[in-house]
Amino acid sequence: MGLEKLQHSLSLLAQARNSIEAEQEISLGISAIARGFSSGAGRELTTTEILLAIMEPGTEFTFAQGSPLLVYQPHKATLVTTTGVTHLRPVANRFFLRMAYEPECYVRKATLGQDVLGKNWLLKSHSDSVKYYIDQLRITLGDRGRKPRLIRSREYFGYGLFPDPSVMPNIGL
Amino acid sequence: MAFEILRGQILGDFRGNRNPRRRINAGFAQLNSGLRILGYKNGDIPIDEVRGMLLARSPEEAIIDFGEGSEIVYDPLQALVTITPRGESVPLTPQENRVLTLLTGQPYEYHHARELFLQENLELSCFYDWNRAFRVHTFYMRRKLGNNTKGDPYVRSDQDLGYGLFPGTADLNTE
Repeated sequence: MGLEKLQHSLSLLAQARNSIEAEQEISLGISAIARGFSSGAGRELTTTEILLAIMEPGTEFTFAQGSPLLVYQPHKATLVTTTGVTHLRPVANRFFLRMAYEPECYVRKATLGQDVLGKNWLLKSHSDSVKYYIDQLRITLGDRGRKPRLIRSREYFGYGLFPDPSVMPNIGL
Repeated sequence: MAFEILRGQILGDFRGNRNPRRRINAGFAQLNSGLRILGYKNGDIPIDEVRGMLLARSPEEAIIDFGEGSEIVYDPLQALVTITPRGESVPLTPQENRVLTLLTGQPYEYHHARELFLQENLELSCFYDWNRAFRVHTFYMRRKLGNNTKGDPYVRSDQDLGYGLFPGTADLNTE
């Protein structure tokens, strides 16, 4: 899905500049990369994998004061919280990364599924697999007994990371 | 920059596996030549641009600006309508947000409530009297959004034609 998104955006860019040749080259190139990756790994390259790959080494997400989260290190898959250091499993790390890029905003379940698990995630896994992974992440973070939660969910809008407990989204007021 | 890093990372995963490496290398070479035509030096593109492409919202999540003459900007993900002449942001309830999402498909046109329900599997339909539920949600939404600069409501209703969203001061689209 990640490579498809790139192909779509770059094709639009080429179309805007009236360059059919560039569009063809980009399209063929990205298809070859996708085929090469899937022949070696047996799966597609997901959006969050590309995000992790192109991220500068040592990148950290620092959260606002008052949040139980302090620092998130995506490459090490570690979260420094007020109670200690938490290690995230690879898929949980990718879910957290996707939400950390857009904090205080809900990301739809389908978008999360596609970005983390791949384009055909619904064919390969259960429709509740995103919910399952988020639940596991909540248990790891000790988020279940906390109100308001760090990872909030809302029907129709999806899941979102709200590091600052005082922030109230506009939805459903 | 971004694609060079990505190539290094992917090839690192396939160390000793010659076939995928060859394909991936050929793919990146072709991609770079395409980017060179688009004016990116050395065929590479800044990391921030690639990140923006990857994190771009899908069309149904995108912020809707209804074009020239529109007085409304609608963010379905945040359930927020910004009314530009008043400089006011109006938060919607989830049900109001659903109703407005349906109406944004074809602005400046009227839609029958029944037609909207049939088009989308709207969760409101679980109500026993869905027509009344729809009317009540629309009533509150209209009251919240108010009138445009000409004095007409943004969400209009007509006894025969149904409900319609009129984000600007233009009249009914008769095309």
